Amino acid sequence: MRPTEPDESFLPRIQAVFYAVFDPSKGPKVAYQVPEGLVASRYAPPVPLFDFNDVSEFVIPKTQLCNRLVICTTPTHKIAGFPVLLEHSRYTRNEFRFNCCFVFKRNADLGCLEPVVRKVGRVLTECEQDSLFLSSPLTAGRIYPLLEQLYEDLNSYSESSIPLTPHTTLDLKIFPFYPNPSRVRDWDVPVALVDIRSKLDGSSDVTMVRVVQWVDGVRCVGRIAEEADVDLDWVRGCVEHLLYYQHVMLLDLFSPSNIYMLTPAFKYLAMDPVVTSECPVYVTPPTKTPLPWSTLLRFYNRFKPGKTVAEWADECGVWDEVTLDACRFITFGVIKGFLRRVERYPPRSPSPGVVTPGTTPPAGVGVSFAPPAQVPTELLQLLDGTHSGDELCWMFGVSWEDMEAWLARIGGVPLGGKEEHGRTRADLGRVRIMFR
Amino acid sequence: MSSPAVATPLIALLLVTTSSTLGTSIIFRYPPYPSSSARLMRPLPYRQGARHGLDGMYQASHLPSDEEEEEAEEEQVREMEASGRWVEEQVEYLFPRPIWESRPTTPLSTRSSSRPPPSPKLGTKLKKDYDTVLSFSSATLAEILEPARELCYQKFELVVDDLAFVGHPVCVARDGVWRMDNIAPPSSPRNEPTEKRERISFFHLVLVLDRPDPASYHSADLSSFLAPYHAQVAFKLTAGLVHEEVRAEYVSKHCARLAEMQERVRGKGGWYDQFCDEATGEAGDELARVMREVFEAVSRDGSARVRINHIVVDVQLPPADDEDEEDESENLDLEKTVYGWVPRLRPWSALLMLEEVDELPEEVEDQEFRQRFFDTLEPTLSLSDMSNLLDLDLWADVYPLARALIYTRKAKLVDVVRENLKSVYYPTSSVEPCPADHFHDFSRAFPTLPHLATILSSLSLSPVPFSSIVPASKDRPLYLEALIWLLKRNLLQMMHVRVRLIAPQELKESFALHRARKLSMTMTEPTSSSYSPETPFLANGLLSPMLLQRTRLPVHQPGSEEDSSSDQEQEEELVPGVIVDPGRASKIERRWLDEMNRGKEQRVVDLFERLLPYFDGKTTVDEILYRTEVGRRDLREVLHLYDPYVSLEPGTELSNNPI
Repeated sequence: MRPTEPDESFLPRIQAVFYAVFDPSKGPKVAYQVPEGLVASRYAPPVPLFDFNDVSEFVIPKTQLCNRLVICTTPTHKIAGFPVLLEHSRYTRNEFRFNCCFVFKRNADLGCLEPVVRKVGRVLTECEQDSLFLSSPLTAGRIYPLLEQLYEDLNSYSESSIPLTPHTTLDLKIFPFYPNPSRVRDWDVPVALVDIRSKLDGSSDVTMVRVVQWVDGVRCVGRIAEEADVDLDWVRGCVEHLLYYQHVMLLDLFSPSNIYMLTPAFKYLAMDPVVTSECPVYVTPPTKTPLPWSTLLRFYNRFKPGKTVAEWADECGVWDEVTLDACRFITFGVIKGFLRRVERYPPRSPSPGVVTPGTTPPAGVGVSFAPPAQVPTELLQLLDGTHSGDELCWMFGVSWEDMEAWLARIGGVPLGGKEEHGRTRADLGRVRIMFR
Repeated sequence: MSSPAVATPLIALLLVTTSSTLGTSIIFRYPPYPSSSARLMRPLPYRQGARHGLDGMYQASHLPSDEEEEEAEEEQVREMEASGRWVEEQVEYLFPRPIWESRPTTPLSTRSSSRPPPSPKLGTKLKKDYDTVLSFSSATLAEILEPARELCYQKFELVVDDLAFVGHPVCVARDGVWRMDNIAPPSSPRNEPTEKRERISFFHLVLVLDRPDPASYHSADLSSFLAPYHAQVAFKLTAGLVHEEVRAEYVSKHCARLAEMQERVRGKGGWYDQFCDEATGEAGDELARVMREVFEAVSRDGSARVRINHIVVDVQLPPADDEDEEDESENLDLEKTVYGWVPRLRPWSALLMLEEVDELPEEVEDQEFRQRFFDTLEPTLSLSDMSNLLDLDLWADVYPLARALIYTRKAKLVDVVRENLKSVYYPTSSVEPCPADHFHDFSRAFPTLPHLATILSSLSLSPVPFSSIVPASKDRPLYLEALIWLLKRNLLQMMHVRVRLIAPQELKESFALHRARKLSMTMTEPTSSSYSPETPFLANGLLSPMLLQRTRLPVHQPGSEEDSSSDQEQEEELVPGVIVDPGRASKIERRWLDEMNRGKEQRVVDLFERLLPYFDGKTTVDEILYRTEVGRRDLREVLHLYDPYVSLEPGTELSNNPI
């Protein structure tokens, strides 16, 4: 296997563009090509990139492959085309077959070029149908300059605008490919990674302009919808859009009852010069002197499962001396990837303690159980271990403390007394909280 | 570790052959009716709540004529989204495909000879049933998948819209004889004069993939995503098939058989799936069974061991890169995607068998050795223990076998499970599939133990040793079994503890103070020291601490200038500092370390010095114990004695007994 050659840029370079037709007498042939001689050469040098005869059955293929994107490969190259078949009595044999193909290196990633190849095929088809742009000898001479411009423009500027007929222009632009954004939940907090407002102008979407004003790294999607007075659905859409272009990332809703833990990445990042230099500045309020990294390191080290942010802050004395913004301190760790949220998942198990053998039904399923007073009935259905504490709190619009009280009622245990207050509890009788 | 249930985009296996009587045809396909997932031309109305603006333009141009109709339509969309049936009903959202009415293609000779089907209408249906694959006519698809001779004996890769075809086409040599290096074709045909059969001249085992969302191969391109399917499945199987075709006309024989079988079933009016069942059944055809087994294994990312005559072919996609792996992540190169990836083996890690080994891997020739290996193998034994016990070489004997087991997903690499269950385990963040399934399985496997939710909940509240949930020591074996059950399902992982050294402010202060005292002592007894009498502080007789700083040089052996200046600036800020790499401590760090050693027993100091290079926050405790050969008890003692200077990561406390 050949090693992957490093790509010059993130967009693959077009090695050649050629236009092939089905010649009624000679069969498939390359009519025009740029650069000359690279696909099928009639004269000795330059050496062609591949033998056209090998791939001709994919360039001018069987009818069933026509009007589809077809990418075939040779040992060294990839040929992407959109073979077209037009049926009309004006053509010899009543049909006209052509294909405008782009040649790439074998290892090129064509993801962002596939739409371009399709569009070229589609627009040329329309021109041919409207004005016989390709088949008429009057305009056929314009195909070569067209290929030339495609080759030059797309390689140099990643976009092109070529007038074809008085009514048609071929407008192309290569967009980088991004994967689909993850699902945006109402309790996710978007944090801006770039200055989004500077990217907006008068022609920006009005909803986006309104939503962006409220993206402050504190408010969650649901709150933004309320504050900006925008439909919740549209806010989700806007945030997805921002996510897609990597302008924001999603964090958890900050709350003193949250729990965080360090990830394995900490062992590298703890001494990373970028982290050690950025962190003190980022987490300190502007008027204060930043704490040294070793102190902050100790603070990070005190995050552990089962310890809420409130407990952590008490332990580190973060509340008293306001030299540290706890929210920013946590956000920094999460963004850098060495701190992660530990979510609570409350499943309902049949009974506390040892269960009788063989009779254990799966949690939350098949147990008929009337909820105690003041607890919403719907909550019971959601205690199957797949819904996180954040989700439940958001759904019922309560804080974790209230949710915990409800769960304790469902679990059939008394609410924690004064000494229990603020402590993290996992055992709520029939409800057990899993942290992960 | 990847769980074996992940589905891959493989949707079909096709076998295309060419022979003079049958022409080029798809002789067998599995599954009988493959289909690709639906592609949309526009985003569907938003899945949550009301309609989304994304589809606004289309909706604006297709406004319903009145309010009632609009309501009805919205109701319909909501219903479809709820049931997931939108694919059939909302045709206008589907990406349009060109429809070419099938023209009369050259009739294949087999079809003409088949018995006329019962009724003409059923006949057309039956014809469609047999001759349509993935919306292509079977004959056309076969011709498309038969590339020019020049493209044979190399990787074949063709993308048509959302389908990718991957294979390794092979054909007969120009002189009409099948050849493979160093295998002679059967010497003369008169060995089997009765079985004179038509030999095929070309065959191509094609994998059809529904092109996945580009996000799944975002880091690479489509070709490297397809590469393992070619290298690990198509190429391997084709190699076996060519070998047997050259030696024993394997493919020709089975193709003739399949064609005959298909004709018979079709003649009786049976559908393609009936033919498929029969062909892959007990009395069916071996090649068809091979194709079915391979498809079933690869499409759910499992592994299959198939036989082509006497040739055994192990087929599986390479194990996926483990994202949680804590090793320095290397770049995902082509080698890794094609040939797979096995986590780095460490002498202090252990192997956990995921399934019973019924057929021992072929990699090891010695039967007795294999038996001994699998008898000894326990997750409680580290790989180095294994090599010691079996008197094997760790690198030459144990590692290759371990790698093979991990590669074929028969085992996974875990941290050594301690029989006293003192290690800290923590639930992993991903629980696949639904936790309820695990709950159910667990209560079936361990009916006497508490509910799994209870166990996971007590383990996850805070980092505690697994033994803390064991009620009595007699229950330990059962809990050990449960722990291994949880590790197999990737529900728990061991918490790795690392040690970092911190020089706190007090240490630095005491160090500075101590040195000041030492200096003042040396000053009062100048006669006992070896300084030259012209040292500056002797001249004025009085020393302020500030002067001490400046006049320190003569006290020590004349050191380098830059050393003193760096000392100065580091000492001036008496703030706690991390000793990044204690094994290569700078001079000032070395002094802090000496300060830490002050007043400790010599034995402890020696131990500390031995362990020191690994207190860098990167080495796990298991590795430290293995490398230094220090006992767990000794390590714990050292950490206790040096407690103010030691920081355990991730935030655990010694009182929790994480070591």
